[in-house]
Amino acid sequence: MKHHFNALLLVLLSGCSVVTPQPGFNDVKGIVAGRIGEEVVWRAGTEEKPSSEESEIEASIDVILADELTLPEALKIALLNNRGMQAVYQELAIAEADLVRAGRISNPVLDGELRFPSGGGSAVIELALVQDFLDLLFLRSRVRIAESDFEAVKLRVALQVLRLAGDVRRTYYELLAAEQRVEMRQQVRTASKGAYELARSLRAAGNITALSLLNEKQLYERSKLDLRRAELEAAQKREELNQLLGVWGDRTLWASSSRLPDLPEARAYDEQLERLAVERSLELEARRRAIEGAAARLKISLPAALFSGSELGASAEREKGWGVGPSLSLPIPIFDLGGASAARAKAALRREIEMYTQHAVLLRSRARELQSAERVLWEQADYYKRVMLPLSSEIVQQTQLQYNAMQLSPFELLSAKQRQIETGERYIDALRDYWLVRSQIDQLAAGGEVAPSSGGSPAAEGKWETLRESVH
Amino acid sequence: MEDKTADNQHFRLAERRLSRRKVLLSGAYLAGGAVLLGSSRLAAQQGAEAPMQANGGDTPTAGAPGLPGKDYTPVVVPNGWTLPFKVIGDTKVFHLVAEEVYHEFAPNLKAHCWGYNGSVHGPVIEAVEGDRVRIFVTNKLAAPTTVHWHGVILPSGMDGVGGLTQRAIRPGETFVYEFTLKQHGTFMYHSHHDEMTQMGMGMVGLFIVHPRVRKGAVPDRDFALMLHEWAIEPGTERPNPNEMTDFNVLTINAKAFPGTAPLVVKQGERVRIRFGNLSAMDHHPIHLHGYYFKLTETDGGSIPESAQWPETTVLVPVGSTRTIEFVADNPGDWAMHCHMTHHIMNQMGHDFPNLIGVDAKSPDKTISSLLPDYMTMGAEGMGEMAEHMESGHMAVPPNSIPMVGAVGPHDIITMGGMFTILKVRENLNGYSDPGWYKNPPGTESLPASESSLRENGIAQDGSSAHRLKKIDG
Repeated sequence: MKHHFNALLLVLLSGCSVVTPQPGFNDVKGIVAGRIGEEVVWRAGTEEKPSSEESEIEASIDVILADELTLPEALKIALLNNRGMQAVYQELAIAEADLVRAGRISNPVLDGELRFPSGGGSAVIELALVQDFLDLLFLRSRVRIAESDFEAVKLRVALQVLRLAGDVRRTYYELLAAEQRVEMRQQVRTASKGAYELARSLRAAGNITALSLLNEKQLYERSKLDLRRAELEAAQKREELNQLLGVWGDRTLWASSSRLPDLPEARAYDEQLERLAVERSLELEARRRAIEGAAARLKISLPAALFSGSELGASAEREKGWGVGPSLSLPIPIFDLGGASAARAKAALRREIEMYTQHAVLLRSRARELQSAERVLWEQADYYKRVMLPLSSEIVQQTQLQYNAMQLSPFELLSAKQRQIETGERYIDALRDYWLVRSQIDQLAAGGEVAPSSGGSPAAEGKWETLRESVH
Repeated sequence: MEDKTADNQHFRLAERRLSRRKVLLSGAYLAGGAVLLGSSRLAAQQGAEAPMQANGGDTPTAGAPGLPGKDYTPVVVPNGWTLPFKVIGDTKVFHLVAEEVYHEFAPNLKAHCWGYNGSVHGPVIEAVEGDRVRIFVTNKLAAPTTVHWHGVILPSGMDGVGGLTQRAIRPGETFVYEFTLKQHGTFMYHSHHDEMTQMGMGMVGLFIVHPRVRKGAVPDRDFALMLHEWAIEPGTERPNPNEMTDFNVLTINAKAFPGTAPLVVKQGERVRIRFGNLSAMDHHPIHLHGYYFKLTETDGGSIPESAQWPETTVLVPVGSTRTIEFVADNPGDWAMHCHMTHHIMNQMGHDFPNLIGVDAKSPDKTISSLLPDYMTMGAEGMGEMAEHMESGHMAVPPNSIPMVGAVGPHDIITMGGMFTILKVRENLNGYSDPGWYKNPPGTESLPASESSLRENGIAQDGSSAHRLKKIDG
């Protein structure tokens, strides 16, 4: 009894305090730092006057963007500057508000009536003051439920941060590959241009037919189209990254470091990946909280169903004189015995448990899938590097010898060169695919989520509405 | 002795030698007791033209084996050799071995070919009309083979046509051919089993039969040359006998210039050159600079003097021999070559675009940004190739000699293939290569001097020359 009284006192007193600024963010910072070693900042809004911290952050972003943008730098900027992420942090405030509200008992209701008898005489006054007393009984349970929910929100916010980091990594690698492809298409265009110019000179001397010249021209024009398309794709990747970095205007003029990292010497096989994926998964942890919350809800579901609307209070009436007394209203469980509500809560709990298990199965499967993808993609990229590229280079050399001996035409030499460049393009694609898988593996090992190959996360697509849903 | 040869003074020198020889030989015959000697034949010997006979010969059918130096002057075989023989009883015994040979066509071009006795082509078989020859043929190839004696009159079963006149000689077997030579002239021998493949791989040789009794002028220098063609892709090491039209290595005695040894002759000597041609598809018009000659023999026999065809170019058809004679009275270095212009190139490719007259500055700049070693070639023709390769400027596939000729005394000789040089010198110490001919002063084409141009009213830039008046602009 004393326990309850103390709680009541605490709650009554704390009812006056406001929600803290940046609630729960320290926990989020701790999780993110622990999982991916990055720093996150909940920035002050622009309607407040910029603090010194704000202008420091803005200045640091400009400094980073001034020279070549590396991947770690891009991550840093995204975590500082992505406004969608800042919107997600507000979910913490929303969740904390819910927590605070859960810890408050509802206000008592004052009911007053004044009646003027038509025959004259003094007015009749009726007064009642009632308080919903279930709040008092179930306060602790409700606080516990709200705390679980708040924890889950923190975890999911951290998860969104990891997702953002993963998207930045993916987009950055894709951008590098796209830029390298532009370079290669430029080389192919140069080769076609050389062939076309030679054909033009041949035609000018009267040595080839107009048809031969047109055929060369067509190949040249096609190579220009291919280059344009590659440039477009690179521009699209740039914009994807700009969205993640949250930049516009002059800040979009950064240059990337423009070379995919080299293939590592050996495969990076981690047999612990499946275990790590499950142990460290933020999503699973959030779901554990959800299970706790559902269990707590189940505990109070029956009495809450039975006794909701119960009120305790006092009423006073003055008709001829004042009359004061207590009041009590209680629903009588005749028709609704509350069983349905209890069953519902039970089913909701079971659902949480099943979904938890399913997610764990999914994570394990993704871990295994990524392991085998890493093996295959490493071998593929390595094969290109070790076998196909040297082979195509040797072919160009031998073709050059045959050209020097005037056995093969300069057009055949240029074709061999083009094929070498195309092999290089395929190598770049294989290398990019390898690094994409590696970053997905890192993501999974850090406890993040890995979407199946199609589609990015809501963060990447800027779908902040669905993000809110995913957080709750 | 009557001599119905032309009263060309060049022949008189040889005449004296001839009469002495005739006396010696006729004596030997009378003493040797030839079987089918008839008085009509004796009369025929004495200078009158021999009537055309079915067997082509005009001497007795058998005789003691003729010996080199004594009974005949052996032929000179540039880049080649003559097969030595044994005399067993009264038969000349030769041994041919058909085998694969790694052969050098010219410096930097070697290939796995098929030949005889370690050489491509096979050695010259040399004998005398009337000799009985016994030729053993051992087959060390992986395929069956035969040897056909092209132009030789012999029994049907000795003709060497696989399947028709004999069973083919299987790998590892040794067959024997034996017959008596009933004629003289320039003949050939070659495989007659799967000819396209085996001849294409090089299995040919010359078979030279000297007359018992020489009529007419005797040559001082007697050369034997076998013409042939091959398809060897640059960077490969084996001729492709399946090639039908696009041959790129043309050879004299299986050598392509600059691999061909020169024909060295003292000024004033009477020269005979025998050409055989067993190319797969091409006849060869062999042109000699500095001389005209007479066509004196085919593989059918001697051509009567009055019918001897004067020429500067002798067409040697596929499957024929042609013999020419002249007196080397004109000193110098004389080119002798097939006049088909593609046959004096080495390993030319025919898929190259025509770059004559093309201004390649712009494409060169573009292309060399991708391929630093690239240079457009052929704008002035093919001549520059030799220089580029000599200077190491241009790498070519190993084991190839595309187009390149040789460094000559004045400049690069932009020739290859079926090309050789007749070197005629006033003074010679032996017949090894005497080096390049030094043109006596006043006999070499040099840049016209200023004074000469002036005196003759010639403008250096060609503007003083008459021009064909153009009809339209």
